[in-house]
Amino acid sequence: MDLSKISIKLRPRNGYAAIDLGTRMAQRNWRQMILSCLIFTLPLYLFLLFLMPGHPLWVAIIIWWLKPLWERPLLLILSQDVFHQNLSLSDILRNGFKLLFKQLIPSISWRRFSPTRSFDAPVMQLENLAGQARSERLSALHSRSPSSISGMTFMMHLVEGLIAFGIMTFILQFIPMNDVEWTLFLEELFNNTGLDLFYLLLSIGWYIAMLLIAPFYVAGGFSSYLNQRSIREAWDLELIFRQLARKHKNKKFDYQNLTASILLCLFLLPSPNIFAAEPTATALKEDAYTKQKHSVKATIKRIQEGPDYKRTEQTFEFRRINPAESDRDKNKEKNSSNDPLLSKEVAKLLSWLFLAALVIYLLLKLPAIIDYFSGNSGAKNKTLDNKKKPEQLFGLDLKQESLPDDVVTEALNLWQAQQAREALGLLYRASLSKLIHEYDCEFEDGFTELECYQIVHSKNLALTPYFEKLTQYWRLLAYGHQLPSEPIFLSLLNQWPNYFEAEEATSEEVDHEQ
Amino acid sequence: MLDNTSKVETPEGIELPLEVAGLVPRTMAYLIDWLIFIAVYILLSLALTPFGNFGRGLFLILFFLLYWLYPIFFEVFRNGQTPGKKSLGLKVVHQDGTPVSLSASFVRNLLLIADFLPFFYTAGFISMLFNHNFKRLGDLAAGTLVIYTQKDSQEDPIPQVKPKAPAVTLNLEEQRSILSLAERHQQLSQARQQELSDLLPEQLFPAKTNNGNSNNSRLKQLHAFANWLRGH
Repeated sequence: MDLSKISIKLRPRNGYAAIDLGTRMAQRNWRQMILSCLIFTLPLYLFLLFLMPGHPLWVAIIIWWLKPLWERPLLLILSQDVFHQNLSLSDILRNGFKLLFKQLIPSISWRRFSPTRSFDAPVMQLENLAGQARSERLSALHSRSPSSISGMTFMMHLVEGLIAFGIMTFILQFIPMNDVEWTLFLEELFNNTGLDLFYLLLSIGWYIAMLLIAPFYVAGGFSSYLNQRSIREAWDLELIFRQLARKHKNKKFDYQNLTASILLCLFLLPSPNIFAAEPTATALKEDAYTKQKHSVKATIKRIQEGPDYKRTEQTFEFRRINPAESDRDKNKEKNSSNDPLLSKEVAKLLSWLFLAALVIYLLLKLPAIIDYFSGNSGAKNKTLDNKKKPEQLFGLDLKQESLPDDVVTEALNLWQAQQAREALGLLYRASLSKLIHEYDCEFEDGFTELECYQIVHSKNLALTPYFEKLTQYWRLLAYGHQLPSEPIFLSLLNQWPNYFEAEEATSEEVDHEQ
Repeated sequence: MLDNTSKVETPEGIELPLEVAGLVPRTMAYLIDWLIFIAVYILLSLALTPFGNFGRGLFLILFFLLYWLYPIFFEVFRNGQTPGKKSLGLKVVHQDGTPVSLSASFVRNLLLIADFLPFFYTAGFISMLFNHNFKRLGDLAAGTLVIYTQKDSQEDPIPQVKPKAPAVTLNLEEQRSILSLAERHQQLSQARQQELSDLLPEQLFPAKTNNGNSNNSRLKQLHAFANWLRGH
């Protein structure tokens, strides 16, 4: 298998997306697949219809039952197409007939109703596994496979049935039932042949529906199988790594390897002709051949023992440690079995209590559950995540540690030192920090000043007008380079403790009261 | 390369792949919506039976409104997701990837009746199977797609090794693959991981460790690259 020739985009997909990719694979090969279906089933269908004209539905059921067989050529077409190989019709016929008899009996008896039939088919048909090896391989592949595969089987059956009825209704709509001549003609026709119009149409509809659905069902299973293997064996990575390796090999031409390979060719090419004459040499060669065969077999065995082909499971269970003691316990239980009613009652009571506790717990949690299902669960999670408060907003450091203890005097000092920008910045920064840590304003990373103001505004705090003024002057200074006049700054500075430090005290008091 | 996406190019020349959802998940979503429908109707009829003829009339009116407006309401006001679609992670969008509008939602849901023909959605099924973007007739008329919602990408844990830069520059896809190898270190067997790391060219690994480079150290170096790429 050469992954570089693969014609589908490899990446780990979820179960349904893999099935959808299968639908596209089937669309690409649809003509060929339908043709092969027709070749393998139409003669049989017509023959059976001829054989038992009174039971058209049974004919359809037989065709349906044999599905695993006539779906094999479809898988053959798809598996060739994945590696860009187009099969001619004669190839399909030749190989298809050979495939029909592979594991014939199990496929149409107990494996027929497996809900993962199309997912399992490649293991039998393409990996050529049978018996124990097959079932172990399957359990390994199933171990982490999504439920979508059996879901697909169910859905495809449903769709097939609905399409069958749809086609039947469609045909019925085109028969003019009001026309007397037509009705008489039909009656005569069906009385003579013993056919029932309704069942015949249903049978034909079902047959057409099977033909329509089969390619998509096979492709969905095959694509899920490829996806599963691609995930387990990291095919997508292998492809890219190989490309990377090739790129670097081209870049730096490897003379050493080239000379080595040329030498190897020189030695190897003529060797059969030379050595063939000598019997000892052929014996030697055969020996080497059997040796190689053995080693290949050993490798195969080793790989089949490996994790790709076997599933190991860790299970935990409680066990009595001492068997003798356990026997004694059993005896004791038997002895004390005169009051099993009591223990049963206790167990019952306990389970009822547990149930009651569970119900109460759920009732208490009901608001949260309703919240979760009412659609804004995403937003809820977000706020939960956001408990880690932003440490920086529009480039201003908001960590509490970075602020001086006495903001007002520090700001005044800065103002007097002609550093107006830093002074007002400190004031604004300290306000934001207080808002975050003491008023629980939920600012998010990447908020602008106005968005912060809107949050504060929506909280309806007493300091809102003050904060609006502060924000306004800060924006003028930061972006417009307009200094506030001294009285304005001083009034801002003097009001600051009223809003922030005083409020802090009251909010602390509230905390204490709580 | 066959993929299950529909590509949309933005005016900025960025290609957005929309992962289109096909027949199986969509039918499942519809079945779930259908079960919800039936439950609601049973409740409604139980609640309205005591009112006699008036109740019956009201039931019919409500039936009509619910039948036609239920999907439209959810698609327009609930992010393109009816409850069934939500449970399967699907949503309806315009074919250019924008949220579905009221008019498009109206068209696609009114035309459900065309998909219904001739019996129980035969036309819709066939259209979904054979259309490249799995559209039913309503989708074709309204220009909408049903796609998978993208999950929030979360970082998978990678083995913590001291970060190191690879010796050659890698393009985006190669970087992603090396990171992905580290992210999948618990899902892939050890032997397979070593096999994969052996595929990589010598040049990738810094020179001094090249000699005596056992498989295990190669893998470890790749983990170091992954840590570096992730910026730890």
